[in-house]
Amino acid sequence: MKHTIENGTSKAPLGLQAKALGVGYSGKVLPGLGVVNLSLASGQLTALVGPNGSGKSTLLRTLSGLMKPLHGSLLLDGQPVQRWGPRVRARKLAVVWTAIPPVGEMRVLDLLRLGRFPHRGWAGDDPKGDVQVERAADDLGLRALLMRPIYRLSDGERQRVLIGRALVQDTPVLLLDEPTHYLDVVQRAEVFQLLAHQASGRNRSLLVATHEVEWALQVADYLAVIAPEGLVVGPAEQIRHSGILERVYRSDKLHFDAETGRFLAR
Amino acid sequence: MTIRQLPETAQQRLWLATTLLFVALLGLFAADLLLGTVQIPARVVWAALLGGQEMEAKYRILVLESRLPRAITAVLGGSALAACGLLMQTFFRNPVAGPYILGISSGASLGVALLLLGQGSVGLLASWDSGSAPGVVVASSAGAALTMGIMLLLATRVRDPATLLVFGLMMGSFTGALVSLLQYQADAASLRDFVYWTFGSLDHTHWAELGLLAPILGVCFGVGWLFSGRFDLLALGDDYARSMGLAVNLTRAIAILLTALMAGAVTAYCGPISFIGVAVPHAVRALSGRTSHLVLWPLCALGGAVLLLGCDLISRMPGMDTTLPINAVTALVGAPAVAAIVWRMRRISTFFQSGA
Repeated sequence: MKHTIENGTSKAPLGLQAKALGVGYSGKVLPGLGVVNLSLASGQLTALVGPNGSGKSTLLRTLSGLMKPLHGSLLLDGQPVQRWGPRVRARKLAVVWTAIPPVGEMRVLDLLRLGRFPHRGWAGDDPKGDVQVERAADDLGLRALLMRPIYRLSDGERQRVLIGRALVQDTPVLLLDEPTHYLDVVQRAEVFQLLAHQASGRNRSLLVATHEVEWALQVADYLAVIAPEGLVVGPAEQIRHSGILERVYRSDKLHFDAETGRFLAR
Repeated sequence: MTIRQLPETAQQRLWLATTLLFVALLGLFAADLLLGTVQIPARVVWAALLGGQEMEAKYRILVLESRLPRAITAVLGGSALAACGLLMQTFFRNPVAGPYILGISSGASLGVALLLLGQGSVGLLASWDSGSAPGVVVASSAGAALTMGIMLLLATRVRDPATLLVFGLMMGSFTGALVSLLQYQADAASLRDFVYWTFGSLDHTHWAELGLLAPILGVCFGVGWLFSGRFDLLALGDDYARSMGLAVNLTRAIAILLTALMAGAVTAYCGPISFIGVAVPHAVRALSGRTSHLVLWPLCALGGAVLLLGCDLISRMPGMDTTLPINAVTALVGAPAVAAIVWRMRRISTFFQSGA
């Protein structure tokens, strides 16, 4: 199947593929992340879920190319990720990290424009730059905020700006680490909806690490669950009924109800 | 409405800030040439600058060999220190970082102290006040380069800027202790020479020294401007910078190297001049309302030149028959200035944090 895409005349980006990837630190694989098989195709939103400390962020760092995998192969747009130079890689894959960058005084427009760095020449030339900034601003509803410094934004607005910075980078693959951190329930819904639109409407492949399992089940095409036996990937509906969420989030305080897709108090 | 047209008031503010600083630079530069302990009529200064020979020789020498190189030194030194201050504030994500934060001044001090206060070396140096004292420049540069080399080495191993900052402070304390040991056992004459160096001075750079200082600072300034977009990314933190394709380690090394060369060179010639590097970036940010290094880098240079020229003028106010130490003046002017700016903002942390 992969070959038919590669040899086809279509120039559709190939997304990101992890094959038997070993993820961990200093030679030791994290439990559940020893043999990661994951394929992010364009137009699809995959939610990465798992309990605290299960290694969602570490997996994301490895998939982003910032951390070396212990073994296995990681293909970005059909090539091993290390083969791309850092700038070329950054034109194919963008990341929204959990940490809020310490640039409170920076204006929204300036922060968005930083996303154009991998596309810029030495002279700072970037003909498509403003078009991309405008498109991201429109997609995320940031038009009215462009001249505002970051410290004057609400948490929800700031999160949209950080996502906007990644959209401006104009990459087929987008990784996000807890993009709904700090947000209230309405803001969370907004963020998930606009992420879904980036996948279906803009044809990007998205991987979203999140604690919001209930939202992920409603919005994501696929769920990737970090379980003790390994990374389990499947269509959201299938994961919901597979019983794996009950096992991974086992507690005497609550239980996962597959019928409604919600966690209920015991 | 396109994005290009949006920031009109912001654009005006930037032009206003630039014009203001530029006019101040020209005005203070002229005043620095015209005013001094010796009264020289303006037209005589003007004629001397144009190469006229018809005035008294002492006036010509005073203008061309003392006041002009001194004013140029103030412009170069102030620009370099302020630009380095901006760079280090970005690098360490710390509002009180300055060009000396990595131990440049303490390293330079140790070098000079070893030369001036070390056993047996006193005889080697004729006298600090006579001539250009090339030994002091060499010792100071070597000391600064040594501490910066150690910091550069540490920076490749230590990722966290705050940790690096602690190493810089510890290094400063350690070399500072060595300097005070040297001071303790030194004789009165060499102690006096050393203390004079720490006062700072714009008097020891003549045309020959400027011929070396100006190209060094010029090249560093150009490289820094070329890298300004990369420094913007550095401010976002390592993860963001790397995920956008920035060669973070190279950029960090460039930042440290530029600071070492620029602040190290200025310190070698002028002594450890404090506060310019800490004060000017804040003033320029507040004035321009900008955060990008493409804009702030040249504005800091402009602002640093203005501030050091101003301090030089104060240090030799007309009517005084003596010159005040420049290092004391920069602190006397700089400290309240920073305090005033911070008071007006009352939220200095927002430069470096996202929360209000």
